[in-house]
Amino acid sequence: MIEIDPQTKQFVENSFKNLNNPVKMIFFKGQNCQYCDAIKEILTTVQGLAPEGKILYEEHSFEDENDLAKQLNVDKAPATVLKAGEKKVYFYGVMSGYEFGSLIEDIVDLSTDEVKLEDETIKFLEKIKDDVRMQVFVTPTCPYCPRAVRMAHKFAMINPKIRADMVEAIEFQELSNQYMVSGVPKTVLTVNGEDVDSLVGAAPEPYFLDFLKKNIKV
Amino acid sequence: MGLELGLSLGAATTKKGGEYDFIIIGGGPAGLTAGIYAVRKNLKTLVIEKSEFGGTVNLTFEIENYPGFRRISGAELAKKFHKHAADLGVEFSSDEVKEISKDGNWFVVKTWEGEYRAKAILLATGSRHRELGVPGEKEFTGRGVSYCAVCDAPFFKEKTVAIVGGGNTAVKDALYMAEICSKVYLIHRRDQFRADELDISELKKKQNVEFVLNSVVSEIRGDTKVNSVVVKNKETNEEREIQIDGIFIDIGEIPNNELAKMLGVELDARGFIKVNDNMETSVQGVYAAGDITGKLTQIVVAAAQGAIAAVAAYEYIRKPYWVKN
Repeated sequence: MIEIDPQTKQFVENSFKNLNNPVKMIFFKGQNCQYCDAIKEILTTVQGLAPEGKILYEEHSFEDENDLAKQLNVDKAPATVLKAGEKKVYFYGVMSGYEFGSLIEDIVDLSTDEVKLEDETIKFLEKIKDDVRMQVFVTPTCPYCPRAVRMAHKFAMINPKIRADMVEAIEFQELSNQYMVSGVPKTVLTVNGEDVDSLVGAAPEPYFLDFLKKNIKV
Repeated sequence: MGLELGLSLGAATTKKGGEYDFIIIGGGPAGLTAGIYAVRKNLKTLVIEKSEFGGTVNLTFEIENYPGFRRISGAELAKKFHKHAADLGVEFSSDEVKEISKDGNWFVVKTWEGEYRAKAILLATGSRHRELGVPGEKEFTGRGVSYCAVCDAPFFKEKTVAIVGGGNTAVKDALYMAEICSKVYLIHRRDQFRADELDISELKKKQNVEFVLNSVVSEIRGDTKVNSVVVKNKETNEEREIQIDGIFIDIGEIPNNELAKMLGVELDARGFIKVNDNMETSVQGVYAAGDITGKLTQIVVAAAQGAIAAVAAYEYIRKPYWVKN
Protein backbone atom coordinates (compact mmCIF):
# COMPACT_ATOMS: atom_id res chain seq x y z
CA MET A 1 0.00 0.00 0.00
CA ILE A 2 1.36 3.37 -1.00
CA GLU A 3 1.45 6.10 1.57
CA ILE A 4 1.67 9.76 0.75
CA ASP A 5 1.97 11.97 3.78
CA PRO A 6 0.57 15.52 3.88
CA GLN A 7 4.01 17.11 3.60
CA THR A 8 4.94 15.15 0.48
CA LYS A 9 1.53 15.86 -0.99
CA GLN A 10 1.91 19.58 -0.43
CA PHE A 11 5.43 19.54 -1.81
CA VAL A 12 4.32 17.80 -4.99
CA GLU A 13 1.38 20.16 -5.43
CA ASN A 14 3.71 23.14 -5.08
CA SER A 15 6.16 21.66 -7.59
CA PHE A 16 3.28 21.17 -10.02
CA LYS A 17 2.01 24.76 -9.85
CA ASN A 18 4.10 25.82 -12.82
CA LEU A 19 3.39 22.86 -15.07
CA ASN A 20 2.87 23.96 -18.62
CA ASN A 21 2.85 21.34 -21.41
CA PRO A 22 0.92 18.15 -20.70
CA VAL A 23 3.04 15.14 -19.70
CA LYS A 24 1.89 11.61 -20.51
CA MET A 25 2.61 8.80 -18.06
CA ILE A 26 2.35 5.65 -20.15
CA PHE A 27 2.41 2.56 -17.95
CA PHE A 28 3.01 -0.95 -19.30
CA LYS A 29 1.96 -3.66 -16.91
CA GLY A 30 3.69 -7.01 -16.91
CA GLN A 31 2.53 -10.53 -16.08
CA ASN A 32 3.02 -11.85 -12.54
CA CYS A 33 4.15 -8.39 -11.63
CA GLN A 34 4.83 -7.86 -7.94
CA TYR A 35 4.87 -4.08 -7.98
CA CYS A 36 2.44 -3.20 -10.80
CA ASP A 37 -0.37 -2.27 -8.42
CA ALA A 38 2.04 -0.08 -6.48
CA ILE A 39 3.28 1.63 -9.63
CA LYS A 40 -0.26 2.28 -10.80
CA GLU A 41 -1.12 3.73 -7.43
CA ILE A 42 1.93 6.00 -7.44
CA LEU A 43 1.21 7.27 -10.95
CA THR A 44 -2.50 7.90 -10.41
CA THR A 45 -1.79 9.58 -7.07
CA VAL A 46 0.71 11.88 -8.76
CA GLN A 47 -1.76 12.61 -11.55
CA GLY A 48 -4.34 13.59 -8.95
CA LEU A 49 -1.97 16.20 -7.50
CA ALA A 50 -1.48 18.03 -10.81
CA PRO A 51 -3.74 20.71 -12.24
CA GLU A 52 -6.42 19.24 -14.53
CA GLY A 53 -5.10 18.12 -17.90
CA LYS A 54 -1.40 18.61 -17.12
CA ILE A 55 -0.63 14.96 -16.44
CA LEU A 56 -2.28 12.24 -18.50
CA TYR A 57 -2.24 8.60 -17.46
CA GLU A 58 -2.44 5.61 -19.79
CA GLU A 59 -2.28 1.97 -18.87
CA HIS A 60 -1.37 -0.86 -21.25
CA SER A 61 -0.46 -4.50 -21.15
CA PHE A 62 3.10 -5.17 -22.26
CA GLU A 63 2.20 -8.65 -23.51
CA ASP A 64 -1.07 -7.77 -25.27
CA GLU A 65 -0.06 -4.42 -26.70
CA ASN A 66 3.42 -5.22 -27.83
CA ASP A 67 3.19 -3.10 -30.98
CA LEU A 68 2.63 0.02 -28.94
CA ALA A 69 5.42 -1.00 -26.60
CA LYS A 70 7.77 -1.42 -29.55
CA GLN A 71 6.73 1.91 -30.97
CA LEU A 72 7.73 3.54 -27.69
CA ASN A 73 10.92 1.47 -27.42
CA VAL A 74 9.70 -0.32 -24.32
CA ASP A 75 11.46 -3.68 -24.09
CA LYS A 76 10.35 -5.07 -20.74
CA ALA A 77 7.74 -4.57 -18.06
CA PRO A 78 6.77 -3.04 -15.74
CA ALA A 79 7.70 0.14 -17.58
CA THR A 80 6.62 3.72 -17.30
CA VAL A 81 7.33 6.17 -20.10
CA LEU A 82 7.11 9.87 -19.32
CA LYS A 83 6.47 11.70 -22.56
CA ALA A 84 6.07 15.34 -23.48
CA GLY A 85 6.11 15.99 -27.21
CA GLU A 86 9.05 13.99 -28.54
CA LYS A 87 10.87 13.93 -25.22
CA LYS A 88 10.77 10.66 -23.33
CA VAL A 89 12.31 9.16 -20.21
CA TYR A 90 11.88 5.64 -18.87
CA PHE A 91 11.32 4.01 -15.49
CA TYR A 92 11.60 0.23 -15.36
CA GLY A 93 10.15 -0.99 -12.10
CA VAL A 94 8.81 0.88 -9.13
CA MET A 95 9.73 4.52 -8.53
CA SER A 96 9.18 4.48 -4.79
CA GLY A 97 11.48 5.54 -1.96
CA TYR A 98 14.07 8.05 -3.09
CA GLU A 99 13.14 7.56 -6.75
CA PHE A 100 9.77 9.20 -6.20
CA GLY A 101 11.68 12.48 -6.30
CA SER A 102 13.09 11.59 -9.72
CA LEU A 103 9.58 11.05 -11.05
CA ILE A 104 8.35 14.42 -9.78
CA GLU A 105 11.39 16.34 -11.02
CA ASP A 106 11.21 14.67 -14.44
CA ILE A 107 7.57 15.65 -14.79
CA VAL A 108 8.38 19.27 -13.91
CA ASP A 109 11.30 19.42 -16.37
CA LEU A 110 9.34 17.83 -19.20
CA SER A 111 6.32 20.02 -18.68
CA THR A 112 8.17 23.31 -18.31
CA ASP A 113 10.63 22.33 -21.03
CA GLU A 114 13.50 23.52 -18.85
CA VAL A 115 16.54 21.34 -18.33
CA LYS A 116 19.21 22.64 -16.02
CA LEU A 117 22.62 21.60 -17.30
CA GLU A 118 25.85 23.43 -17.98
CA ASP A 119 26.23 24.96 -21.47
CA GLU A 120 29.24 22.78 -22.16
CA THR A 121 27.21 19.64 -21.42
CA ILE A 122 24.30 20.73 -23.60
CA LYS A 123 26.63 21.57 -26.49
CA PHE A 124 28.15 18.10 -26.39
CA LEU A 125 24.82 16.30 -26.00
CA GLU A 126 23.34 18.13 -28.97
CA LYS A 127 26.13 16.89 -31.21
CA ILE A 128 25.52 13.19 -30.50
CA LYS A 129 24.38 11.27 -33.58
CA ASP A 130 24.88 7.71 -32.31
CA ASP A 131 22.11 5.74 -30.63
CA VAL A 132 22.94 6.04 -26.96
CA ARG A 133 21.30 4.26 -24.08
CA MET A 134 21.96 4.93 -20.41
CA GLN A 135 20.55 2.36 -18.00
CA VAL A 136 20.80 3.52 -14.42
CA PHE A 137 20.39 0.67 -11.94
CA VAL A 138 18.98 1.71 -8.57
CA THR A 139 17.39 0.47 -5.37
CA PRO A 140 14.58 2.53 -3.78
CA THR A 141 16.54 2.81 -0.52
CA CYS A 142 19.59 4.37 -2.16
CA PRO A 143 19.80 8.09 -1.37
CA TYR A 144 22.45 8.75 -4.04
CA CYS A 145 20.62 7.08 -6.89
CA PRO A 146 18.21 9.85 -7.94
CA ARG A 147 21.21 12.03 -8.83
CA ALA A 148 22.37 9.51 -11.42
CA VAL A 149 18.85 8.86 -12.70
CA ARG A 150 18.15 12.54 -13.08
CA MET A 151 21.43 13.18 -14.84
CA ALA A 152 20.70 10.47 -17.42
CA HIS A 153 17.09 11.60 -17.81
CA LYS A 154 18.13 15.23 -18.31
CA PHE A 155 20.60 14.13 -20.97
CA ALA A 156 17.77 12.32 -22.77
CA MET A 157 15.63 15.44 -22.63
CA ILE A 158 18.31 17.36 -24.53
CA ASN A 159 18.77 14.89 -27.38
CA PRO A 160 16.27 12.17 -28.42
CA LYS A 161 19.20 10.06 -29.64
CA ILE A 162 19.85 9.40 -25.96
CA ARG A 163 17.58 6.96 -24.22
CA ALA A 164 17.72 6.96 -20.44
CA ASP A 165 16.21 4.34 -18.16
CA MET A 166 15.90 4.01 -14.43
CA VAL A 167 16.06 0.28 -13.72
CA GLU A 168 15.01 -0.97 -10.29
CA ALA A 169 17.73 -3.58 -9.86
CA ILE A 170 15.90 -6.03 -7.61
CA GLU A 171 12.86 -6.29 -9.91
CA PHE A 172 15.08 -6.86 -12.94
CA GLN A 173 17.44 -9.33 -11.36
CA GLU A 174 18.47 -11.07 -14.57
CA LEU A 175 19.43 -7.81 -16.18
CA SER A 176 21.26 -6.79 -13.01
CA ASN A 177 23.17 -10.07 -13.09
CA GLN A 178 23.96 -9.60 -16.76
CA TYR A 179 25.55 -6.25 -15.99
CA MET A 180 27.01 -7.51 -12.71
CA VAL A 181 25.23 -4.90 -10.66
CA SER A 182 25.89 -5.29 -6.96
CA GLY A 183 26.30 -1.63 -6.12
CA VAL A 184 24.05 1.25 -7.03
CA PRO A 185 23.71 3.62 -8.74
CA LYS A 186 25.35 1.92 -11.68
CA THR A 187 25.00 3.47 -15.11
CA VAL A 188 25.51 1.17 -18.08
CA LEU A 189 26.29 2.95 -21.33
CA THR A 190 25.31 1.39 -24.65
CA VAL A 191 26.32 2.99 -27.94
CA ASN A 192 24.77 1.75 -31.19
CA GLY A 193 23.66 -1.44 -29.48
CA GLU A 194 27.02 -2.23 -27.93
CA ASP A 195 27.63 -2.05 -24.17
CA VAL A 196 30.73 0.09 -23.98
CA ASP A 197 31.23 1.22 -20.41
CA SER A 198 29.72 1.61 -16.97
CA LEU A 199 29.96 4.08 -14.13
CA VAL A 200 29.36 3.31 -10.47
CA GLY A 201 28.22 6.10 -8.19
CA ALA A 202 26.33 9.37 -8.40
CA ALA A 203 28.97 11.39 -10.17
CA PRO A 204 28.71 15.16 -10.56
CA GLU A 205 27.79 16.56 -13.97
CA PRO A 206 31.32 17.18 -15.31
CA TYR A 207 32.22 13.59 -14.46
CA PHE A 208 29.17 12.24 -16.29
CA LEU A 209 30.04 14.44 -19.24
CA ASP A 210 33.58 13.03 -19.36
CA PHE A 211 32.13 9.53 -19.16
CA LEU A 212 30.10 10.20 -22.32
CA LYS A 213 32.91 12.07 -24.09
CA LYS A 214 35.26 9.15 -23.49
CA ASN A 215 32.86 6.72 -25.14
CA ILE A 216 30.98 8.66 -27.80
CA LYS A 217 32.50 10.33 -30.84
CA VAL A 218 30.82 13.48 -32.10
CA MET B 1 11.34 -2.86 -0.23
CA GLY B 2 10.67 0.74 0.72
CA LEU B 3 7.35 1.64 -0.81
CA GLU B 4 7.06 4.92 1.01
CA LEU B 5 7.18 8.02 -1.14
CA GLY B 6 8.89 11.30 -0.97
CA LEU B 7 12.13 10.34 0.71
CA SER B 8 14.01 12.83 -1.43
CA LEU B 9 11.60 15.54 -0.55
CA GLY B 10 12.66 19.04 -1.31
CA ALA B 11 14.92 17.90 -4.07
CA ALA B 12 13.05 19.85 -6.72
CA THR B 13 13.40 23.13 -4.83
CA THR B 14 16.13 25.15 -6.43
CA LYS B 15 16.61 28.86 -5.98
CA LYS B 16 18.30 31.32 -8.25
CA GLY B 17 20.20 33.44 -5.73
CA GLY B 18 19.39 36.21 -3.27
CA GLU B 19 20.34 37.97 -0.05
CA TYR B 20 20.11 36.23 3.31
CA ASP B 21 21.11 36.81 6.91
CA PHE B 22 22.39 33.29 7.31
CA ILE B 23 23.34 30.71 4.72
CA ILE B 24 23.84 27.15 5.87
CA ILE B 25 25.79 24.87 3.58
CA GLY B 26 24.81 21.27 4.17
CA GLY B 27 21.35 19.96 5.02
CA GLY B 28 22.17 17.23 7.55
CA PRO B 29 21.16 17.30 11.22
CA ALA B 30 23.57 20.16 12.01
CA GLY B 31 22.40 22.35 9.13
CA LEU B 32 18.70 21.68 9.59
CA THR B 33 18.82 22.25 13.35
CA ALA B 34 20.74 25.47 12.81
CA GLY B 35 18.01 26.45 10.36
CA ILE B 36 15.31 25.80 12.96
CA TYR B 37 17.09 27.94 15.57
CA ALA B 38 17.94 30.71 13.09
CA VAL B 39 14.41 31.23 11.76
CA ARG B 40 13.07 31.28 15.31
CA LYS B 41 15.47 34.19 15.85
CA ASN B 42 13.95 35.73 12.74
CA LEU B 43 17.05 35.40 10.60
CA LYS B 44 16.34 35.03 6.90
CA THR B 45 17.90 31.62 6.44
CA LEU B 46 18.72 29.40 3.51
CA VAL B 47 19.98 25.80 3.62
CA ILE B 48 21.81 24.61 0.52
CA GLU B 49 22.16 20.86 0.10
CA LYS B 50 23.74 19.17 -2.88
CA SER B 51 22.42 15.69 -2.23
CA GLU B 52 19.75 14.51 0.17
CA PHE B 53 18.35 16.62 3.00
CA GLY B 54 19.23 14.72 6.16
CA GLY B 55 22.72 14.04 4.85
CA THR B 56 24.37 10.83 5.94
CA VAL B 57 21.48 10.12 8.32
CA ASN B 58 19.87 8.72 5.17
CA LEU B 59 22.51 6.00 5.17
CA THR B 60 21.55 4.60 8.57
CA PHE B 61 19.15 1.66 8.74
CA GLU B 62 17.99 2.23 12.24
CA ILE B 63 18.66 4.86 14.88
CA GLU B 64 18.16 3.98 18.52
CA ASN B 65 19.93 6.80 20.32
CA TYR B 66 18.14 9.96 19.24
CA PRO B 67 16.03 11.08 22.20
CA GLY B 68 12.30 10.81 21.74
CA PHE B 69 12.54 8.06 19.17
CA ARG B 70 13.02 4.59 20.56
CA ARG B 71 13.71 3.26 17.09
CA ILE B 72 13.48 5.11 13.78
CA SER B 73 14.95 4.64 10.32
CA GLY B 74 17.52 7.16 9.12
CA ALA B 75 15.38 8.12 6.14
CA GLU B 76 12.38 8.77 8.36
CA LEU B 77 14.31 10.90 10.87
CA ALA B 78 15.89 12.87 8.01
CA LYS B 79 12.44 13.59 6.67
CA LYS B 80 11.20 14.73 10.08
CA PHE B 81 14.14 17.13 10.47
CA HIS B 82 13.48 18.58 7.04
CA LYS B 83 9.75 18.96 7.69
CA HIS B 84 10.35 20.65 11.03
CA ALA B 85 12.69 23.18 9.45
CA ALA B 86 10.36 23.72 6.46
CA ASP B 87 7.32 24.25 8.69
CA LEU B 88 9.17 27.01 10.56
CA GLY B 89 10.08 28.87 7.39
CA VAL B 90 13.63 27.78 6.62
CA GLU B 91 14.25 28.16 2.89
CA PHE B 92 15.94 25.39 0.94
CA SER B 93 17.79 24.98 -2.27
CA SER B 94 18.94 21.74 -3.83
CA ASP B 95 22.13 22.97 -5.32
CA GLU B 96 25.87 22.75 -4.99
CA VAL B 97 28.14 25.54 -3.79
CA LYS B 98 30.98 25.96 -6.24
CA GLU B 99 32.68 28.99 -4.77
CA ILE B 100 32.60 30.98 -1.56
CA SER B 101 34.39 34.21 -0.75
CA LYS B 102 34.26 37.31 1.39
CA ASP B 103 33.26 40.75 0.12
CA GLY B 104 33.53 43.32 2.90
CA ASN B 105 31.11 42.26 5.62
CA TRP B 106 29.27 39.95 3.25
CA PHE B 107 29.92 36.43 2.11
CA VAL B 108 29.36 35.61 -1.54
CA VAL B 109 28.17 32.09 -2.27
CA LYS B 110 28.17 30.93 -5.88
CA THR B 111 26.22 27.82 -6.81
CA TRP B 112 25.34 26.14 -10.09
CA GLU B 113 22.07 28.05 -10.16
CA GLY B 114 22.86 31.47 -8.79
CA GLU B 115 24.74 33.84 -6.55
CA TYR B 116 23.87 34.53 -2.94
CA ARG B 117 25.00 37.02 -0.33
CA ALA B 118 24.90 36.37 3.40
CA LYS B 119 25.97 38.07 6.60
CA ALA B 120 27.05 34.80 8.20
CA ILE B 121 27.80 31.29 7.00
CA LEU B 122 27.50 27.90 8.61
CA LEU B 123 29.65 25.17 7.16
CA ALA B 124 27.81 21.93 7.90
CA THR B 125 29.34 20.10 4.99
CA GLY B 126 29.86 16.80 6.78
CA SER B 127 32.17 14.06 5.71
CA ARG B 128 32.45 11.28 3.18
CA HIS B 129 33.49 7.66 3.55
CA ARG B 130 37.12 6.73 3.90
CA GLU B 131 38.63 4.13 1.59
CA LEU B 132 40.80 1.23 2.69
CA GLY B 133 43.41 1.84 0.01
CA VAL B 134 44.14 -1.83 -0.64
CA PRO B 135 44.55 -3.68 -3.96
CA GLY B 136 41.21 -4.66 -5.47
CA GLU B 137 39.19 -2.00 -3.67
CA LYS B 138 38.83 0.45 -6.56
CA GLU B 139 38.66 -2.28 -9.17
CA PHE B 140 35.70 -4.02 -7.51
CA THR B 141 33.75 -0.96 -6.35
CA GLY B 142 30.17 -1.62 -7.40
CA ARG B 143 31.07 -5.25 -8.05
CA GLY B 144 31.09 -6.41 -4.48
CA VAL B 145 32.85 -3.53 -2.75
CA SER B 146 30.34 -1.12 -1.23
CA TYR B 147 30.34 1.90 1.04
CA CYS B 148 26.56 2.11 1.33
CA ALA B 149 24.80 -0.78 3.03
CA VAL B 150 21.32 0.77 2.78
CA CYS B 151 21.82 1.08 -0.99
CA ASP B 152 23.34 -2.28 -1.77
CA ALA B 153 22.18 -4.71 0.94
CA PRO B 154 19.45 -6.25 -1.28
CA PHE B 155 22.09 -7.65 -3.66
CA PHE B 156 23.56 -9.82 -0.92
CA LYS B 157 20.48 -11.63 0.33
CA GLU B 158 21.43 -15.12 1.50
CA LYS B 159 25.04 -14.51 0.54
CA THR B 160 28.29 -14.12 2.47
CA VAL B 161 29.64 -10.66 3.18
CA ALA B 162 32.40 -9.01 5.16
CA ILE B 163 32.09 -5.74 6.98
CA VAL B 164 35.22 -3.79 7.80
CA GLY B 165 35.34 -1.43 10.76
CA GLY B 166 34.74 -1.22 14.48
CA GLY B 167 32.55 1.83 14.95
CA ASN B 168 28.81 2.27 15.18
CA THR B 169 28.28 2.20 11.42
CA ALA B 170 30.13 -1.08 10.97
CA VAL B 171 28.36 -2.78 13.86
CA LYS B 172 24.91 -1.49 12.83
CA ASP B 173 25.51 -2.61 9.26
CA ALA B 174 26.66 -6.03 10.52
CA LEU B 175 23.49 -6.36 12.59
CA TYR B 176 21.35 -5.58 9.58
CA MET B 177 23.27 -7.79 7.17
CA ALA B 178 23.13 -10.68 9.66
CA GLU B 179 19.36 -10.66 9.18
CA ILE B 180 19.50 -11.09 5.41
CA CYS B 181 22.84 -12.79 4.70
CA SER B 182 23.78 -16.40 5.31
CA LYS B 183 27.11 -15.37 6.82
CA VAL B 184 28.69 -12.12 7.97
CA TYR B 185 32.36 -11.57 8.87
CA LEU B 186 33.17 -8.48 10.88
CA ILE B 187 36.78 -7.53 10.28
CA HIS B 188 38.31 -5.08 12.73
CA ARG B 189 41.90 -4.09 13.31
CA ARG B 190 41.57 -4.13 17.09
CA ASP B 191 40.04 -6.57 19.55
CA GLN B 192 37.76 -3.90 20.99
CA PHE B 193 35.03 -1.84 19.40
CA ARG B 194 34.16 1.83 19.50
CA ALA B 195 30.55 0.98 18.77
CA ASP B 196 27.84 0.97 21.44
CA GLU B 197 28.15 -2.03 23.75
CA LEU B 198 24.45 -2.86 23.44
CA ASP B 199 24.82 -3.37 19.70
CA ILE B 200 28.00 -5.39 20.12
CA SER B 201 26.38 -7.78 22.58
CA GLU B 202 23.42 -8.09 20.21
CA LEU B 203 25.81 -8.92 17.39
CA LYS B 204 27.65 -11.51 19.48
CA LYS B 205 24.37 -13.42 19.84
CA LYS B 206 24.03 -13.87 16.08
CA GLN B 207 24.86 -17.40 14.99
CA ASN B 208 25.91 -16.35 11.50
CA VAL B 209 28.36 -13.61 12.49
CA GLU B 210 32.06 -14.34 12.81
CA PHE B 211 34.41 -11.78 14.33
CA VAL B 212 37.79 -11.43 12.65
CA LEU B 213 39.65 -9.27 15.14
CA ASN B 214 43.12 -7.75 15.33
CA SER B 215 43.08 -8.11 11.57
CA VAL B 216 43.52 -5.79 8.64
CA VAL B 217 42.41 -6.23 5.05
CA SER B 218 45.41 -6.57 2.78
CA GLU B 219 43.66 -7.35 -0.50
CA ILE B 220 40.27 -7.81 -2.10
CA ARG B 221 40.27 -10.49 -4.78
CA GLY B 222 37.92 -11.51 -7.52
CA ASP B 223 37.44 -12.04 -11.22
CA THR B 224 34.43 -10.23 -12.63
CA LYS B 225 33.27 -9.58 -9.07
CA VAL B 226 34.56 -9.96 -5.52
CA ASN B 227 35.29 -13.55 -4.50
CA SER B 228 37.45 -13.21 -1.43
CA VAL B 229 39.20 -10.93 0.99
CA VAL B 230 42.68 -11.45 2.34
CA VAL B 231 43.12 -10.48 5.97
CA LYS B 232 46.26 -10.37 8.00
CA ASN B 233 46.30 -10.94 11.73
CA LYS B 234 48.33 -8.13 13.29
CA GLU B 235 49.61 -10.26 16.15
CA THR B 236 50.56 -13.45 14.37
CA ASN B 237 51.14 -11.95 10.91
CA GLU B 238 49.19 -14.90 9.56
CA GLU B 239 47.24 -14.31 6.38
CA ARG B 240 43.85 -15.80 5.76
CA GLU B 241 41.72 -15.72 2.63
CA ILE B 242 37.99 -15.60 3.31
CA GLN B 243 35.50 -16.43 0.54
CA ILE B 244 32.88 -13.67 0.30
CA ASP B 245 30.39 -12.24 -2.18
CA GLY B 246 30.59 -8.68 -0.98
CA ILE B 247 32.46 -6.37 1.36
CA PHE B 248 31.16 -3.25 3.08
CA ILE B 249 33.74 -0.70 4.16
CA ASP B 250 32.82 1.33 7.25
CA ILE B 251 36.16 2.64 8.47
CA GLY B 252 35.30 6.23 9.17
CA GLU B 253 35.07 9.51 7.37
CA ILE B 254 37.14 12.20 5.78
CA PRO B 255 35.99 15.82 6.03
CA ASN B 256 34.32 17.69 3.16
CA ASN B 257 36.54 20.72 3.76
CA GLU B 258 36.87 22.17 0.26
CA LEU B 259 34.70 25.24 1.01
CA ALA B 260 36.42 25.77 4.36
CA LYS B 261 39.73 25.93 2.52
CA MET B 262 38.34 28.50 0.07
CA LEU B 263 37.46 30.73 3.03
CA GLY B 264 40.83 30.19 4.67
CA VAL B 265 39.26 28.62 7.74
CA GLU B 266 41.74 26.95 10.08
CA LEU B 267 41.69 23.14 10.00
CA ASP B 268 43.12 20.56 12.36
CA ALA B 269 45.77 18.03 11.36
CA ARG B 270 43.12 15.62 10.06
CA GLY B 271 41.44 18.31 7.96
CA PHE B 272 38.43 18.94 10.20
CA ILE B 273 37.40 22.52 10.97
CA LYS B 274 38.65 23.94 14.25
CA VAL B 275 35.83 25.50 16.29
CA ASN B 276 35.53 27.06 19.74
CA ASP B 277 32.68 26.50 22.20
CA ASN B 278 30.45 28.82 20.15
CA MET B 279 31.13 26.89 16.93
CA GLU B 280 33.05 29.90 15.64
CA THR B 281 35.84 29.20 13.18
CA SER B 282 38.99 31.22 12.68
CA VAL B 283 37.14 33.46 10.18
CA GLN B 284 34.68 35.94 11.68
CA GLY B 285 31.11 35.26 10.59
CA VAL B 286 31.88 31.67 9.60
CA TYR B 287 30.61 28.86 11.83
CA ALA B 288 30.94 25.11 11.58
CA ALA B 289 28.83 22.28 13.00
CA GLY B 290 28.34 18.55 12.63
CA ASP B 291 30.73 15.91 11.33
CA ILE B 292 32.95 18.53 9.69
CA THR B 293 34.14 19.55 13.19
CA GLY B 294 35.60 16.08 13.76
CA LYS B 295 33.84 15.56 17.09
CA LEU B 296 31.68 12.58 18.03
CA THR B 297 29.80 11.72 14.82
CA GLN B 298 26.35 11.43 16.29
CA ILE B 299 23.08 13.00 15.16
CA VAL B 300 22.39 14.47 18.57
CA VAL B 301 25.84 16.10 18.65
CA ALA B 302 25.44 17.58 15.17
CA ALA B 303 22.01 18.93 16.10
CA ALA B 304 23.36 20.51 19.29
CA GLN B 305 26.29 22.08 17.47
CA GLY B 306 23.88 23.44 14.86
CA ALA B 307 21.82 25.09 17.60
CA ILE B 308 24.89 26.67 19.19
CA ALA B 309 26.16 27.91 15.83
CA ALA B 310 22.81 29.47 14.92
CA VAL B 311 22.56 31.36 18.19
CA ALA B 312 26.15 32.55 17.86
CA ALA B 313 25.47 33.69 14.29
CA TYR B 314 22.38 35.54 15.48
CA GLU B 315 24.41 37.35 18.13
CA TYR B 316 27.03 38.24 15.54
CA ILE B 317 24.50 39.54 13.02
CA ARG B 318 22.00 41.32 15.30
CA LYS B 319 24.24 42.30 18.24
CA PRO B 320 21.45 42.01 20.87
CA TYR B 321 21.75 43.89 24.16
CA TRP B 322 23.28 40.96 26.05
CA VAL B 323 26.25 40.76 23.72
CA LYS B 324 29.09 42.91 24.95
CA ASN B 325 31.18 44.56 22.32
